[in-house]
Amino acid sequence: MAYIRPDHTTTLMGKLLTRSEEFVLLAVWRLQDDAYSLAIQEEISRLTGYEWSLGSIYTPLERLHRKRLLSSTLGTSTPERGGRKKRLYLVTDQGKKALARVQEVEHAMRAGLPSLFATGGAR
Amino acid sequence: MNRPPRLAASLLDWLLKDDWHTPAGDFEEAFHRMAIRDGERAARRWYRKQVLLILPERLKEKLVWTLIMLASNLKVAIRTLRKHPGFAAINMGGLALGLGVAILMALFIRSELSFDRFHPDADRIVRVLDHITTADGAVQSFGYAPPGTAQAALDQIPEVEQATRFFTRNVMGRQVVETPLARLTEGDYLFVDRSFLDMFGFELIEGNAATVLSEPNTVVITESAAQRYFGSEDPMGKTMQFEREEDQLVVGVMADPPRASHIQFSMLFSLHAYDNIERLRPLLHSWDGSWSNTYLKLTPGADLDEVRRKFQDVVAASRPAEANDVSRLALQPLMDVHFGSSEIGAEDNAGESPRQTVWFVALVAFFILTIAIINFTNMSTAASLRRSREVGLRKAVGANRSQVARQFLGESTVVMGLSLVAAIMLAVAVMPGFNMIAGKQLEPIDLLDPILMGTIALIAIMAGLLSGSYPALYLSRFSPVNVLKGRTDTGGRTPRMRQGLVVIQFALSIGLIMASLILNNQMQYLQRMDLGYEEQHLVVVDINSGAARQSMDGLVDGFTSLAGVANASVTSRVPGDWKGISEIDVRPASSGEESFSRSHFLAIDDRFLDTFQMTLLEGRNIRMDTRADSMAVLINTQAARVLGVSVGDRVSISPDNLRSSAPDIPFEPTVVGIVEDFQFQSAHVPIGPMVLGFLFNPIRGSDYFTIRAEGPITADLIENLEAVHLQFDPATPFEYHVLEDQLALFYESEQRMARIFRWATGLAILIACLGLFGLTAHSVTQRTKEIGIRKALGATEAGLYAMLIREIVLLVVLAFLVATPLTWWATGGWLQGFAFHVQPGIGDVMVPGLISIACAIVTVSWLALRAARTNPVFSLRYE
Repeated sequence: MAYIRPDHTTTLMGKLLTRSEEFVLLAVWRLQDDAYSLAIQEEISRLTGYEWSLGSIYTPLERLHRKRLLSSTLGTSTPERGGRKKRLYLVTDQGKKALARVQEVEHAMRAGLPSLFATGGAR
Repeated sequence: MNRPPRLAASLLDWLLKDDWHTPAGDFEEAFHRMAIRDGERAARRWYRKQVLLILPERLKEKLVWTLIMLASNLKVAIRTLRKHPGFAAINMGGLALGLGVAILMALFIRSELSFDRFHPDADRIVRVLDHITTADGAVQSFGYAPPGTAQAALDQIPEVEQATRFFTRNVMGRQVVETPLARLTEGDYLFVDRSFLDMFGFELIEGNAATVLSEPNTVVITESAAQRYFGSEDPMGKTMQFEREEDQLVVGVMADPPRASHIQFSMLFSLHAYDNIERLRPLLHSWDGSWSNTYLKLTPGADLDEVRRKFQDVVAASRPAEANDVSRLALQPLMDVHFGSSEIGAEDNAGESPRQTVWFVALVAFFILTIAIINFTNMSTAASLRRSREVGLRKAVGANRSQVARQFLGESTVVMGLSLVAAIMLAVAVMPGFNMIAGKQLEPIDLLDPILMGTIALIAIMAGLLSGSYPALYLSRFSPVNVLKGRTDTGGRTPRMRQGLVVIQFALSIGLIMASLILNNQMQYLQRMDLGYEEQHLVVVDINSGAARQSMDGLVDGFTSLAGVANASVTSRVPGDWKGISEIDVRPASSGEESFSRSHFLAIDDRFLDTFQMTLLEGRNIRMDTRADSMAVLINTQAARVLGVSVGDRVSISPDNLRSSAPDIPFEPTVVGIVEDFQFQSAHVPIGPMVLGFLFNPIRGSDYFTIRAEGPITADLIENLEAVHLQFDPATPFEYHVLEDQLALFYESEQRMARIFRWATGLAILIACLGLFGLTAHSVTQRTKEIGIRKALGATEAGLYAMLIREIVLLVVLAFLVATPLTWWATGGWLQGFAFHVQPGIGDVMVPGLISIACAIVTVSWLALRAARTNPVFSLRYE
């Protein structure tokens, strides 16, 4: 949906981020002042090692924005964009908390497991 | 720098225009990076692919939203209408009236323009006209030609593909027709060539098209004639008795000729059958005298000018040079007959009308539609103030100007659509009345014509957009901040634009009133013009048989002895009848052969002057008691002037004018009296010289009784006249006319226009006042508080009333100043077209202005008075 509806529910905070949301949020955090759609897409593509489409970036971006984990401003226009402005994203405090929580849960989930690399497995 | 594929880029821009993200820019930037990395072609391919991938989803979304907004706008439109039902009624009522009138007028114009078009290849058919130069140099035109013309043209001009002729009652006279069911005098029959049915689109319902018009003593009758003579019985194979023909066998039934046909008839006889009669054949192919209505069909693509040249050659070669001097044959395209025959005898052009009628009607329709559209514009704009908050709110939540404008345009189109439906129903409902006014036979089914419907729908849509566009632009301009703070840029006074529109409305109305007045005056002038005799209370009885002619004296005595009859007279012709008034060549007996003048001739008896109440200026009346007066004539003053003769002089009448049965001696009667000029024809024609001869003369026999009643003509009187007629002539049906009704036919087309104009004028002023009412209602509401404050501060009711209506009156006065010179100029041009016409006076100028001002004041007074009287307590509490 192209139109953003303010979402007043905060119960989502209780749920964890999806993986794509997590990646996008991390990419924005990593890119800091230059976090806009295309840069995010490239960053994630580079780190994951395969091509993410633009569309697969927009959806988590929008969802994060709605959950107030990201804020945005309109940046300057450049000739490469045909004179169009870009939308720059920033991680909000809530966003940072969400990232921290994901990390915590991850740690918790993996704590005390046998080593993944030692057993070899089906590789 | 390379740009992405243009078409794809603009498509993408359009699809992603409203997206909160900035994807269009992203795609372009990605395109540039890819162009550097993978080359431009790959980048372009990728870009196009992205657009195609996005397309379906986005398109669906756009469509859904358009529909949602449409539904929402529709809902708002209907809610607005229902919230102010009175306002909506005035608004749509005015529009429906305007559109209804426009629809009827469109039907009228369509029916006028489609005249004679039902014939196959109508645009290839031409009619032969005969322009005859009379002795005094005047040219008279007729819709017929010498009988030999058709065959000669067919044989000698390659471009003539088909030729057909017919003879009318002008040639054959009227006669009594009898069947077991009915006995009537019939004049609407034609003797036609066999090609008649091939060339014209008249429809044969029963009978064999190949043979119906070839056998002698057979007749083809129309459906209505079948109804008249046979009722519900099948007429095929039955016999009809004719006064001067053999019994005729009915061998075919035709549909009645369409009203939009200049050829009208109720029976067809075969001309071909007469061709076989040795005695008649030379007559049917002669070049001597014009009396055969002749039509030629040209080959496709034939050049009319070329055909005309060849036709002139054929005519010149076919008859003596003297004939060509006085008679000029010409070709008239069939499509010009309806509009282009005002100079040609009316009996050859049924339904003929001047082309200006169409323009007049179109202009009037345009005026009324304009007034109605202005109404709508004004009312919607005024109403918009009530909705300024709605606009403000819409804008505040993100509507842009074009969205607001579109909403209002949509609303006006909805209102227009509803009004159109109402207008169509209105048009159907008043169609019978309109038919009477306009002399048409329109039917609701005519509305189903796709071109007409399309035109009307187009007009409605255009009108909707036009009338919606001003409010739309005006409203969408509102600044949300001001509006929501309760500030609008209009105070109590009507804005300039609306004032201007009101002025236009009233200028059009005033123009219509003025034109209608002048038209009416002209009509009355024509009809009241002193005819030189008293045309009221006269009944004309036709002499259709020898029996009646034999016992003229007895009949006249019988008529005059009736109660309520003042006088009765026998004449050869009467005013307004279908038989033309005879013409003769006459000269003073003392002068030579070369000084003949063309003159009308009328045979009269000694009661003629009294019956018609004419004025004898000099000399004495004709006397019937002495044989000597068979060599006496009266003349009119015109004749006295033209011929230069006075009472006691003898005049000589050309031997060519005498009946073939007359003795072969010069006819040189003595002028015994001079009567004042009188007009026996239409007032379009100037009065010419006239000779009034003794009833028994070698030129014309008696054909009519004219009876002067003592008062208005009653049904009883007619019955009594019929009884007298029956006494002397039991065999012939009684036929009569009220003279005044016949005279009115002279001005039928003008009368029709005057009637249309009167109604249109009434409607125009009604619609304009309707609009004014709505506008005033609005402005009074707007100023409720102002009025309350003024009153609280001591303003009087009269003062407030004056304040409220002052503006309207000023606008109407301004409209008057604009309209008067324009209308004066326009009608002046029209009046110049009449030989006799009125000069518009100060009354014609002032009355329309006063009427409009009065209408306007009456319209707004009620509202203004109500507002002025309201107790300020209520008005100040308002809102």
